[in-house]
Amino acid sequence: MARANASPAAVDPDEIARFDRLAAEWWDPAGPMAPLHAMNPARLGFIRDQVAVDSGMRRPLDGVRALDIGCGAGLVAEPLARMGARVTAIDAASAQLEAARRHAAVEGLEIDYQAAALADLAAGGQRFDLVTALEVVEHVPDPDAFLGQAAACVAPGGVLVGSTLNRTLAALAKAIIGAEYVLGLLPRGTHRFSKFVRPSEFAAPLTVAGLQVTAIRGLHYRALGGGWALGDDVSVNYILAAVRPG
Amino acid sequence: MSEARLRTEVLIAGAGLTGLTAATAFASAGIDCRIVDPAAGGPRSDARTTAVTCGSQRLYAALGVWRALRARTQPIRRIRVAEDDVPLFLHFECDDLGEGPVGHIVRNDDLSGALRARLETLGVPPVASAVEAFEEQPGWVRTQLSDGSVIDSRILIGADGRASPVRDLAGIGTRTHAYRQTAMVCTIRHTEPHHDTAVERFFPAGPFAVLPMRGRRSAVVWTEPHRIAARLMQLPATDFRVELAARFDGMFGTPTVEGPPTAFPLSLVLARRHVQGRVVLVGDAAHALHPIAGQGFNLGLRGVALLAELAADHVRLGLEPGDPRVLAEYAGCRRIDTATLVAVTDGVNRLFSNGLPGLGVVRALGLGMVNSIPPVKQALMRQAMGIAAGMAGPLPRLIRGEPI
Repeated sequence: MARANASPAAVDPDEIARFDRLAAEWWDPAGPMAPLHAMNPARLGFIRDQVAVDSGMRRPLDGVRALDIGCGAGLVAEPLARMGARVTAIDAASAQLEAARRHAAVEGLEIDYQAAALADLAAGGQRFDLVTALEVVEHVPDPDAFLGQAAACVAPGGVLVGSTLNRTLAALAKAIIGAEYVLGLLPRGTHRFSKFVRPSEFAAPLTVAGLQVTAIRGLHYRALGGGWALGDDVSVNYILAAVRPG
Repeated sequence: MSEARLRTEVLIAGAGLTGLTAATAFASAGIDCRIVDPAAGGPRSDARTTAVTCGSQRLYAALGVWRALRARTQPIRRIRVAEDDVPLFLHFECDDLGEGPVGHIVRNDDLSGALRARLETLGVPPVASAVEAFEEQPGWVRTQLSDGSVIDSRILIGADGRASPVRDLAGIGTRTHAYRQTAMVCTIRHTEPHHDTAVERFFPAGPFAVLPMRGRRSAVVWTEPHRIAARLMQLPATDFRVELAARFDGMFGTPTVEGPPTAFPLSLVLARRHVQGRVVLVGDAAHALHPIAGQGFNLGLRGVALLAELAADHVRLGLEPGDPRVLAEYAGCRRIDTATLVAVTDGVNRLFSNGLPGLGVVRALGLGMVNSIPPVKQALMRQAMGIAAGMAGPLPRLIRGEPI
């Protein structure tokens, strides 16, 4: 893994430095990552529904080989592991991975956290039944290349789930002005509007890589309902699934 | 502490009816739980009865305990409300709704036994131990038990009754309301059948409620000002029977009193918070009204059903059941349900002396939704049956009889 951090194509040093400072606070549900904690039930529900047969079970992802890209401190990797998946999780920020490893140990979860670059993993030939890239693509310098590599990791019959912010004025208003400045939900500078990805831009490189987009839903924050929920409006946050025909 | 540290998702303190129900609900949903009670190993006998509303009955059916219990319960199919000398003021037939009996009177021993049997099957028998101390850790609450063991759990549930030690250890204060009335509770035999009827007669000094039991027997809850109740309680058994018969008014023939009556000064204990960190109070630990043991019991079960449902939905996503968001949502719903109970109970003097007709029986059924009762008979019935959605949102799945 020594050379993994050095792959410059997939990671933007400025972004990494920004997130490194947040690693310690990552697992505080009321901390700076509160929005990700809050989105988790809706995101995980979407993922489970793409992969699981029976949503009533405690281990609906039993035996599923999963790759979580941009895992941070493990907010998605841990629930996937608890649902029964065998999880490999990668991130470019080493502080977060260290926080993630420590947290998983306390929780008694076995997760293969690697400081690997996605490009290396894709080139290495490892394939997964489930590949997740949640709130990641807006932070990478070359989304097309990133999504192509992510798609390459999907095994035949497997599914990729990605979520991000749409490049619309609504998203600009809500995510940057609203969440970062007005409400203080996210640290300032977390997002740059130019990096937001439209659903069509998300789907294109996946299609090129041989995947078929099968579902796309909006993610909405209900101020009065106190949580995030899936909906039809994809103009701000959205989550999509694409499968590789098996 | 060198003891092996145990882990579970939910630790329940208190193996009374509410605690046993909570353990059954969590375990049935596949949530890892343990239940401890210092009295769990000792001999148990609770001759009291509890009114189980239709909603709670559905919960027990969904949890797989009603089938074993059913033959021992007494259904309530009719409610008659009379005021003083007006013989018949209101009459409810549950068949009007087509939802089955409005509720069932269940012996506490029977309900407890059915729940214990179910928990045995689920592999969660109550353990004889008491909570001595606990402290919050990131992601866990660490509890020290009197048997020396230490348990880390996501949620610690205080189902340990009116004098809840968990509530005290958490430093959660209470508000206590004492009322000027005493309720006398006894069991009577009568010479005529009751036809599954619950009766409430209103007198200026307080209501006289009669709840059907199996056979030609009924439970009487008779409320009077302290002074009068004290005098009645001192009467020789024959004279007490005469006074009781005067209120009973030959409804089901001639009554005889079984055993001495028990007197309960009316008082209410309300916890100031139901959730603090990872500690959740349920049942009497959260809200307890004497004398009717079931007062708030059905409301408490609604809380248990809601918490189990929220936790189950979360753990099936790989998230932990004590997630602050789960407990915050639970606390929000309970605030509304309990506010309703408080609003009701603040008016308890009026209610227990000369309130709206029908409400006493509703109270006796353990329901605290009085001020939200619409002026429609069927809606009133639904409230009494515990199957009306409250202001706190839709009914929990278990209360609708659905598994979680």
